[in-house]
Amino acid sequence: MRRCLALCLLLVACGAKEPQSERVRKTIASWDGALALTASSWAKGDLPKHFVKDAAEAATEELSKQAYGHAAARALALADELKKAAENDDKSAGARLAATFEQEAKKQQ
Amino acid sequence: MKSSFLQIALGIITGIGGFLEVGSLATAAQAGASYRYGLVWAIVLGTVCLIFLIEMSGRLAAVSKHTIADAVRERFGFNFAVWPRGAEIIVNLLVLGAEIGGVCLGLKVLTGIEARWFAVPVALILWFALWVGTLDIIENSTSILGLLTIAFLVAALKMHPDWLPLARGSVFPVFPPRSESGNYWFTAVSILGATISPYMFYFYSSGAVEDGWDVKDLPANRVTAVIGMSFGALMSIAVLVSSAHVFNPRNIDISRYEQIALVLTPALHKWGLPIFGISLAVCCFGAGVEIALATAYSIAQTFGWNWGEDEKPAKRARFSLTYTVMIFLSIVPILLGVDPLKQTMFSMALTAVVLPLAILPFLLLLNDEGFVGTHRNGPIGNIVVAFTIFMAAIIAIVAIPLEIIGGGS
Repeated sequence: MRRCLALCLLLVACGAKEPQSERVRKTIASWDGALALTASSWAKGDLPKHFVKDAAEAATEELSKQAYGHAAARALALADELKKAAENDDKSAGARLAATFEQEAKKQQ
Repeated sequence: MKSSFLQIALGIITGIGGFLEVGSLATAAQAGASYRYGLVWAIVLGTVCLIFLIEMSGRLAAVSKHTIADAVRERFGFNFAVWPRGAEIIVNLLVLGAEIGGVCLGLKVLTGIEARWFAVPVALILWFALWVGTLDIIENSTSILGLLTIAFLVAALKMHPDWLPLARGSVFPVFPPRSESGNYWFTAVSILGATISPYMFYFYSSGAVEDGWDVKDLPANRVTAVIGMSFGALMSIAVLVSSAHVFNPRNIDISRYEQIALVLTPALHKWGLPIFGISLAVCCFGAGVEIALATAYSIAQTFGWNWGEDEKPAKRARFSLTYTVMIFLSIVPILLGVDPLKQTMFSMALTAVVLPLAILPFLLLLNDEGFVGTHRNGPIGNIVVAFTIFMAAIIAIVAIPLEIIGGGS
């Protein structure tokens, strides 16, 4: 029983919380990547505009809660642009934003 | 009673359509996105344990005409049976809420209408289906509709998986950097919780008793457990592989359903999103039916009430009241705006916590001649159950600290 408990505690001890700055960087990179995929698929006609709007809103919500700094502000502004592009059904703006999100995602890597 | 062939065929269809639900979909997608093939072993391990436990549930029902809950009460007494049941009710309530949330999200993906608007209509349809439907109609219709999930297999194959790393990931854990190990093990725990769900044993054994299985059905039971659950696991692995190819190279960590919904789009293009939405809605509806019924079955059997989905509701009033209360209580978090993905991941980890309580009786009941006569467990069956209990106990102790360290991402 003692050995079992020790094994369990060892397992838990093996896990360490990631530094906050690293988590913020990952969150921004993750949403840049997701919105790049969303925008490019929408520009190709593979996604409906309501979904693009939902994805941009979800990104805004998560980035506002979990990220901070210049990169986060840029990602938030781009997410807002994508939402407006979806509302106006402007697929050429979607294609342009897809490329921008792609570049931003690469910067975060 | 169904012919053996039909029983096996339906078992396989149930395995494909019934295995994939909100928990397995979300956990497999998260695993693939974050660790590529590094957590396939958790699905494989969970499925092997599940196959043995499902086979045992069916064997107990066929030989003794007892369901699991029924046998536990008879063998160990009401006082022993009631505590695990209490814990399972709480977990099932959360999981049922997650499944109804999954249906709502599937409908949101298809229509763009906010998920919480669907909560009450979906709960009403679920309740109505249970109120008027028979077990066969409900099981077969959701399972056949669930065959749509084969789209995940098609998508995974279209993405040309790397077979050797996939085979390696199916057997060996891939240890991530220390800073990510909390999240890695929490995801592994959630996969095991999503795969070895106790409600499946109650549902399966109660269905077997309702269908009147006997000793002649044992070979069909074995084939159903092995092939049905293996096919189901294959779909789960297909989700993980698709997710690994779509999300991992783009560094997308899954934190919202709006991200998971993209999983089929690169492979299936404009069909990807509608197929994802329909698959999610249908699979979660099927799982919702199973959880609501399984909870009602286990409570009724523990308290010795009349039960049976094929009976008229008036003849089993307390049984019907139980699933009615469960369904409408479970949608409260959705209406309050709780994030469905976080509720799913939390409830899957909590499922892992109650696993030892649910599995321990298998070891005793399936070795008790009074229940299974000469059809007792062999050494391999006992080793697998003992290992599952050991693994489940470790998981139960570490799940909550891991949730604090690594969950909720």
